[in-house]
Amino acid sequence: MTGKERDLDAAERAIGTLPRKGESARARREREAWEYRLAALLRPVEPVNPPSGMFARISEHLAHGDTYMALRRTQASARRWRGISAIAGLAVIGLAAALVAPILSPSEQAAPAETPRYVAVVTSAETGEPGMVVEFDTGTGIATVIPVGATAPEDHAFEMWRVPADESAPISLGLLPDEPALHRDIDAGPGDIFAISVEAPDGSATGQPTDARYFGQIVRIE
Amino acid sequence: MTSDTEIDDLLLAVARSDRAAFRLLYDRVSPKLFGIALKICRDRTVAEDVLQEVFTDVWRKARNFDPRRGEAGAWLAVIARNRSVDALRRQGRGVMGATTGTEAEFDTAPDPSLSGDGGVEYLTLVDCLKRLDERQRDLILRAYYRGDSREDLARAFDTPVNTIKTWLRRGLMSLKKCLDE
Repeated sequence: MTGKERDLDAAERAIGTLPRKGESARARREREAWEYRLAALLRPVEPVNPPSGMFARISEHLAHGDTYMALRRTQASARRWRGISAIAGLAVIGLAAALVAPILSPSEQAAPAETPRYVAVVTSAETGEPGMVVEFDTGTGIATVIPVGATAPEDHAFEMWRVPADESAPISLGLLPDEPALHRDIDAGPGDIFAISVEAPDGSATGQPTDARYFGQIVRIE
Repeated sequence: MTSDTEIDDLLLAVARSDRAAFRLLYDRVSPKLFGIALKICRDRTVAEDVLQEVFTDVWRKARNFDPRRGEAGAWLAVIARNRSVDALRRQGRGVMGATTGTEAEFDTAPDPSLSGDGGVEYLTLVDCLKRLDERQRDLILRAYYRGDSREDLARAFDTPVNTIKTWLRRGLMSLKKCLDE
């Protein structure tokens, strides 16, 4: 194929009269060069404000997708996926409030009204039973990890994980603590999910979750 | 719209998973991208779905953006255009009907809020498109704004697919030659 033919194919992929699927990295760059060239056609389009709830909807969609990706990464079954879906949404926020309130001291609960609060309720994908709650103080950047009742199988330990929203590899947060509440500096935000896996007593030997059983996404509570 | 370099910087921060930058970027560019989706899809509900898909792509693929190759505004607009066309195709293109005038689609006044040389790029492109044979121009714009396939164009122009392919490629070749001058 001549260079001219290649370029025309790239142009046709850019306008969509040839399919983009299956193109090589070089073909993609050639197509993108045409896309940049033609993007000026979109310049005069008048901006239109999207509906006010749109960003929240997008954030929720991303969190939902990331939960799904994390479940796939840990090869969780479809049954587990249905389990986590069932407890998603407002129920999670209500559950978080109920679980966190009795544990945190009044001073810890007293966040200024304008400071957003974030919480992740990490629940069993199979039964919906909560395993831990992670609450974030966006003012101090300190997270409070509260184990809530989950018991690791005999001769095993629970390990905590953060799965970043950008779909990069899960990051270990160490073994689930024995104490009622652990204050930790955890870099996390909306779209991340937390997980608990079952590991050997010393934790994962591979640096990645062995048998992830609990999942929870970060949600904002006002 | 906000200055091009600010959008570039925000998108580069999103590539580093910076959520605050993602929110700021949304605030800055979502009206433009929603405008593109609405213009192509002509249906508010579909355009909202497209906008969600666009920002999902932005969050997940921002690391593919290379400021050496072009501006973030163009990179984002292309995602909005491609996602909108995909949505039209999923719907069987029923929303737009068969008689959209493509001439009017591009022959509108440049956005006065354009910064940098974006307006010049647009005017140059329009000028080059106007130099094309009318049929070739119409084919390119129908494909670009409506996602018409070669087969769709063959039906619309009552012309064999191979002839459409020839016209399209001649038009694109002339367009590139003009833009490179």
